[in-house]
Amino acid sequence: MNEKPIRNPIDWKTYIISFFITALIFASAFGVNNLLSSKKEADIKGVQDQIALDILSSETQFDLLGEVSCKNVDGTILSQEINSLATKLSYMESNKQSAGSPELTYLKKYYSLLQIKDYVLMQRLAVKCQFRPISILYFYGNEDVCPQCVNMGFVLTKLREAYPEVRIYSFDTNLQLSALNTLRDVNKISETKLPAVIVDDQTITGFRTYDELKKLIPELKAIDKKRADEEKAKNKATSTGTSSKSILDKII
Amino acid sequence: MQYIVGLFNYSSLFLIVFFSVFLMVTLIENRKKIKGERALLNHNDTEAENTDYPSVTILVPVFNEQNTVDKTIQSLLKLNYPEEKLRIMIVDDGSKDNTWEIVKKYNNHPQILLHQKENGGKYTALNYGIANCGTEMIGCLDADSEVDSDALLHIIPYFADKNVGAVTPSLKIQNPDNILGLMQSAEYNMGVFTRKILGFLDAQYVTPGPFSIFRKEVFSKVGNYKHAHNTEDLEMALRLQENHFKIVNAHKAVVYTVGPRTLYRLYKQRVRWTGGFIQNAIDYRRMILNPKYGNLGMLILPVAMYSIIVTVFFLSFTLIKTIFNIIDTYKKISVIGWSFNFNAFSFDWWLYNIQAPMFIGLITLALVVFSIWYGKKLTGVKDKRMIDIVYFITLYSIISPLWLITSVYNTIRRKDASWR
Repeated sequence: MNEKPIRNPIDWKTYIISFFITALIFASAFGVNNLLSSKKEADIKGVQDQIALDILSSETQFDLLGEVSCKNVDGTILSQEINSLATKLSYMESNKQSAGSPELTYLKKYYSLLQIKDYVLMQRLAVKCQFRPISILYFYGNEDVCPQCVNMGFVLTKLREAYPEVRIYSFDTNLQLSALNTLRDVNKISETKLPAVIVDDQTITGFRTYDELKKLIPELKAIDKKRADEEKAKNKATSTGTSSKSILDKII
Repeated sequence: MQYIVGLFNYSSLFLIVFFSVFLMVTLIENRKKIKGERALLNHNDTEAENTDYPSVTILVPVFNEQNTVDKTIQSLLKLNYPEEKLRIMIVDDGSKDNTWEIVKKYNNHPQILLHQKENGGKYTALNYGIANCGTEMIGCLDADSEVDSDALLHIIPYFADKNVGAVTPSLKIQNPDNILGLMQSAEYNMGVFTRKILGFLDAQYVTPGPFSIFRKEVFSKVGNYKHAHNTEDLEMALRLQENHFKIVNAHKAVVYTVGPRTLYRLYKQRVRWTGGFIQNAIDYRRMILNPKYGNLGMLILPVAMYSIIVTVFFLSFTLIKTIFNIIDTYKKISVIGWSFNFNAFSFDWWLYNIQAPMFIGLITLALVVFSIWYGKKLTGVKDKRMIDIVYFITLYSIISPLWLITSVYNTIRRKDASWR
C-alpha cells in the first residue's frame, strides 16, 4: 500500500444540497403551521359572526314583530354556540403559540361583548315570556391576581358540560373593555375578590367545589328531577310496549 | 429565556434533520458505486485466480465462552475460502470455565492454532494474535458471533484498492425472538445502512470487533490495540482515521451476533459502547471540527457528540415537563374528580394542533424507517417483517436515554464501564 495515505478532500456539494433540502423541509413545516393557525382563527371568527347574526336576528324579530313567539323561545337558545366558542377560545388560550396574541385578545373582547348582549337579551325575553333562564356570571382574572381561578374554571366547565341548559357567561376582568367594566361595577365585583360567581342575584366570591356550587343553584335540582322523571317515563313506555306485545302474542 | 430555549430546540432539530438528509443525499450520490461493487464481487465469484486470495488469519479471543465458542469456530471453518490461505487463531484469555477444554479438541486441525494466556483483557489477546500471525490480512471474530459462509469472499475484493487499510462487515442480530431482540435487529439494520454511507464518506469510526479485516502492515504503522476504555475496536478505527487509512464497508459480508436478551444486559453493553465512544472521542478531540480529517472531523464526530449531549438535556426538560403535567392533572382531578367526558373527545380536527416540530419529526421518522428497510436490502438477507421497525421506533427513544445518561455521568466521573 502507499507509504503515506492521503484523505480524499471533502465534497462540499453534499453539504450544500443537504442544507437546502433541510431548509426546504423547515420552511414547509412552518408554512403548514401558519396555514393551519390562520384557518383556526378564521373558524373562530366564523362562529362569532354566526352568533352575532343569530343575536341580531332575535333582536330584530323582537323589535319588528313587537313580540317574540314565546312558545318557540326558552332558555336554551344559542347556548350551544356560545359554549362551543368558549371551548375553542380556552384552547387557543392554553396553546402557547396563540396565547397573548393580539388576535386572541380581540376575539376575547368580541366574545365578551356578545355574551353581555346575550345576557341582556335573555333578561328581556325572560320578562316578556315569563320564564327564568338559569344564568351564571363568572368573573375571573390572571393567575397572579386570582390563583383559584384555574380550578374554578374546571368546576364551571364541568357544570357547563353536565347542564347545557345553563348559560355560563365568563368574563376575563383583565380585558380592557368599558362594557365589561360597567358590568363589573354594576355587580360590585372587586378585583381582590376573584373568582366571583353571580347566580340568582347573589354574589359568591372565592372558590367553590362542584357540589357546593350545585347546592347554591336550586334550579339545577329541578333540572335533575325533570331528567329523572323523563327517564322514568321512557322506561315505562318501553315496558308497556313489551307487555302489550305479549298480550298481542297471546291473542294470535 | 423562552426565546433561547426555542432557538436551541429548533437548531438541534435542524441539525438532526440535516444529518439524516445528508446521509440520504450521500446514498443517492453513491448509488452507482454500489452497483459497481456488485460487479466487483460477481467477478470474484466467477473469475478469481489464486493471487486474488491473500492469506488471512482470523483471531478469536475468548473469555468464558463455553456455550458459544464451538459454533463460532464451526462457522469459520465453513467459510468459503481456500483452506491453505485461511488460519484461525484461538486465544484463550485465561478463561475460568470449560472454554479451553472445548477448544482443545481442535488441537490437530491444520487451519487452527491455539494459545492460552493469562487474563489481560481482550485487547491483549488481539495483540498476541497480531504478533504471532504471518498472514497478509488479519481479522477478528468475537466468540459469540457467527459468520456467513461467503463473508470473507465478499470482503477480500475491497482490498484490491491499495489504499484500503481495513474493511468492515454488515452486522445482524442472530435469530431475534423477543421484543428486545427485534428492537436491536432493526437498530442493526439501520447500522448496516449507516455504516455503508459512512464508508463512502471515509468516516467510519468503528471497526467492529466481529469480523473487521485489516491489512496486517497497518498495525506496524499505527501500533497495536490499546485498552481504550473497553472499546478497542472504536479506538483502532479512530487511530486509522487519524493516519488517513481508508476504511470501507463490505455490505454483503454478513456476520451474526447475539444481542443481549435482557434489558439489564443491553443497558450494560450500551453504557460500555457509548461511554467508550465519548471517552475515545475526547482522546481524539483534535479531529473534531478539523477539516484535515474530512467528513469524520467536520460532521460525524461533532454530530455524534452533540446529539448525545442534546438528548440528555432534552430528556431532562421532558422529564420536568412531564412531572408538571402530572401535577396539573392531579390538581384537576382533585377538584372535579374523574370526569371522563367523552364530549371532550369529539374530534374537532380544528383542535388537532399540528405544530411544526411534529411535522418535521414525522419526516425524520420516515427517513429512519427508510434506512432500516434499506439496510435489510443491502445485505441481501430476506427479511420482510415490519414488527422490528415498530418496536425500534416505539421503544428505542424510551430505553436509550437510560444508558446515554449513565455514560455521560460516568464520563464526568471518569469511570470506565465494565464488560459484564
